[in-house]
Amino acid sequence: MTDLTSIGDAAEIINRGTTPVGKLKVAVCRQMKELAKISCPKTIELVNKWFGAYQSNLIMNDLNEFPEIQVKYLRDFIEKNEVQLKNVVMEAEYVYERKPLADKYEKYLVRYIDLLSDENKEESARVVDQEWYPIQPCLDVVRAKKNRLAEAVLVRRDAEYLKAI
Amino acid sequence: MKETDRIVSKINAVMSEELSQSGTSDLEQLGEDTIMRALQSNFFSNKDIVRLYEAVKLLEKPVPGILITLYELQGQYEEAFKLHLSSAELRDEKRIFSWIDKSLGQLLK
Repeated sequence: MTDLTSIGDAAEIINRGTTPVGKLKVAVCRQMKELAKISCPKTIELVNKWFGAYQSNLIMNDLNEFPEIQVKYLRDFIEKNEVQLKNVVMEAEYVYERKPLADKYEKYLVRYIDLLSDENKEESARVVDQEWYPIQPCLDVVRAKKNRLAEAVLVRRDAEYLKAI
Repeated sequence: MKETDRIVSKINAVMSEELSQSGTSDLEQLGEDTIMRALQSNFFSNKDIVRLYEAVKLLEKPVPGILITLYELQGQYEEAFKLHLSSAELRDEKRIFSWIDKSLGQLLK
């Protein structure tokens, strides 16, 4: 799972495109959106195995123009790596070293909720009820999307959190 | 005559100018798997591979799997990948992803 900790940088892969393997990697990297259209789970596996540094860039930048693929990709990515994402996000509250990675994962989670607010509000409300989804950033996006169902869940979670403190 | 010899003689015939004149595909009649096995058997020189590639490209409907093998034998993996994406037959979930994985693994050896 070390690939998941790499910070995305497609340019790094592009610059290596001088060897035969590098050339093929560049060609594949440039068509990653097409591959995601064919299969998101297989693309996730491929990126994890051969393009670890590119994962973040693909999720947060290259798929931006294709929200319907981006939401599927994020759903599969989060499901596939749920245990790791959850542990990192939860541990970051008391393990400082986890913070940079947790920030990256939280961006994935918030983007997912943002997209899900357009696609399926009921599903988004169910998802944000999980304790590892960050409350305030998710509240910001669901309010912007007028997603009242998810907003109600997050407001309740926020109140419970404050009460617990 | 051994099976390999028959394959070779067939493929040699395809490589001759006969193919471009007739426009028929002896390759297709021979069967994709048999041809690919023959191509991968190191029987052909690099020059033969290039000639065969040129001949196959002249076919009205080149068999994508054979073209992929010819690209691989010439080290043109990017072209093989483009063909995977553009061919309805090869743009299959199992075929394209396993090909990328296998090819990257092979190139790293």
